[in-house]
Amino acid sequence: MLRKLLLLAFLISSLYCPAQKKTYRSYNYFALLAGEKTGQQLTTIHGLETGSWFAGAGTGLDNYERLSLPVFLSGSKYLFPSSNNLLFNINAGISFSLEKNSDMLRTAVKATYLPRPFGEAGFVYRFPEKSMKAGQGVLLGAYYSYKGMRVKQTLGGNCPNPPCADTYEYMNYELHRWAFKLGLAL
Amino acid sequence: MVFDIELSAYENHVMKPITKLLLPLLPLFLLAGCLKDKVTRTYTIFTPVYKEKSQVLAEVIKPLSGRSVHNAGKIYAYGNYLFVNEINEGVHIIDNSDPQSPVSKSFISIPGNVDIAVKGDILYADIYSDMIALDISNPLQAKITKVTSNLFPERSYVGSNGWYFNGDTSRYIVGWTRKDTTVAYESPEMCRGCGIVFDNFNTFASASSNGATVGIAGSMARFAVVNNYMYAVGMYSLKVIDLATPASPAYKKDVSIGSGIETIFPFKDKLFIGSNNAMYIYDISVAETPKYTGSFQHVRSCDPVVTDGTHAYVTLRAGNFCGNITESRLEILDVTNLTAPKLVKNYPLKNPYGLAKDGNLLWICDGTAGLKLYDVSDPANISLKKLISDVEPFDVIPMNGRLIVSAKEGILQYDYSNPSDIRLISRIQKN
Repeated sequence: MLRKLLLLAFLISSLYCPAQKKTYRSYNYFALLAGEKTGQQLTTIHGLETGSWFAGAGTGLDNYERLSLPVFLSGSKYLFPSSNNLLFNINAGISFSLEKNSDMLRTAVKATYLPRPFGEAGFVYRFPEKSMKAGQGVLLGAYYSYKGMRVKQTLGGNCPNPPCADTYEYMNYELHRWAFKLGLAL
Repeated sequence: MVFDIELSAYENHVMKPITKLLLPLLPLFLLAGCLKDKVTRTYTIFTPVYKEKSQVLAEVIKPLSGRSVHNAGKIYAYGNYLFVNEINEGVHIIDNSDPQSPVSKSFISIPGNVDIAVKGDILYADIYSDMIALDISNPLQAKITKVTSNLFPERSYVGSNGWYFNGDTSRYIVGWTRKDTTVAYESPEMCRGCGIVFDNFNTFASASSNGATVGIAGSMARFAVVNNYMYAVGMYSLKVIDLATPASPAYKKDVSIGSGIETIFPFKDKLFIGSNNAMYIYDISVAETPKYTGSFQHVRSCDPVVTDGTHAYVTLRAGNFCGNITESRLEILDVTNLTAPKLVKNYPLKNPYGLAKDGNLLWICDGTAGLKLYDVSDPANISLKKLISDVEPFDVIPMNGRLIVSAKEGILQYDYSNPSDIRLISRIQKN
């Protein structure tokens, strides 16, 4: 899956402005997440920047509700190309839960965590730093962030006359939060 | 000092603008309250489909020529025949005169059936809360000889939420309709209003036996035929049924035992009864009046029992409804003094169901961990002789060096006349 995402990111990035020079860029964030609950998130995004556009792929760790690993495609556009400081960023991909046994129903004997959608959209401001190269800088952003999660619970009923067919219930999470990000563009 | 200067420069160039931007951002945290997470729970509601009893019984007497095994349940060996319960659907009659090539002779449709026993030409089978006696002298033309109504009144179904569902006992349930539904999630414990019955429905009625003039049942059985009587365990009691006229079983009495009764294993003039918190021993030397002899309490778990007269072998299966043990195990009990069985030793298992003993060999169906053969010549120090890991068994019947196994994969037969060279001789494949 990750390979496919990276390949797709590469293809997308190669389509943009073929005449312009492409620059490798990474965006690395630490985020505070706030919704009904709070959490933290670390992400790193790598890709190519050309003109005021950026396309790449990212991954990270997200511990809101349950620890998960998002894998996503990322696209950004600097809104004011003259300064290239304020950018709009969208991330879309899949969140893989790293939990194993949380949220078991009372009658469940096994919980399997299924990948679900992950998405973010927000504005980021880049503070150029003199000691850094052009395009690099300290980042500060505000996002809306969505993380899905699904837990497949295998239920173990009283089964005096085995075999009893496995039965399942699903816990579905749709998690909405604000993400306040601090990071570095390198 | 150098650090101070650098830090000061950093503050001037970066921190101040950041602080300026952060300050207006911070109130955004107040908006966090605007976002609500949504947590839902998706499950399947099963609703029973009923048929009038007369209609169902009319269909029972129309046996079908052999059909494939889908969901094999308990097994019962009788003469050259093998009876295999198709869980909640009926009974396969299999001609096993050549164990290397068993032939499915007929399938008798008995909705709700989970247990069977045979005496002579009569097959006894539960049909939900009732029991029927069937003349199977011609397996292709089975005839109902008697219906005993409401023999297992406590038969109920357990939903995945732990709630019980009791069906309408004036009719038979012949199927279930399923509907997926999604509701807001409240807590792991709650789902009070949820539906009629969830999946994993099961029964607390059942059957089987041991003995020369009858057949041989697996250890998961809930019926035992001993001479002219059948003993059947319900959820709370031992039922005594007179089979002096096999075609017309006559219910005699209920002997209250306790709760959570699971299996019955006859040995000579004793019955060893497995419940989910104890093993009970009843004396049946006066056949119609079983008499409590002794018991051995254990932690709550699911457990069949077998015995050789000096030791009893009990598998305890862990799991939510099965009880509060965290590790499944085999318990070996000294039963030389039937009034006070003593624990000899525990051995860890993974997912045990049925078991059977043959001489110094003990077969254990360890579910997902496979079929295990132990040497139990020294019960205090048993050793694993063989593991057959490519099956998921739940009950076994050993017969003269041949092992009949009911497993998730179907019905398998092994030749273990040479325990160091155990061979699969036939397989009635699950379709």
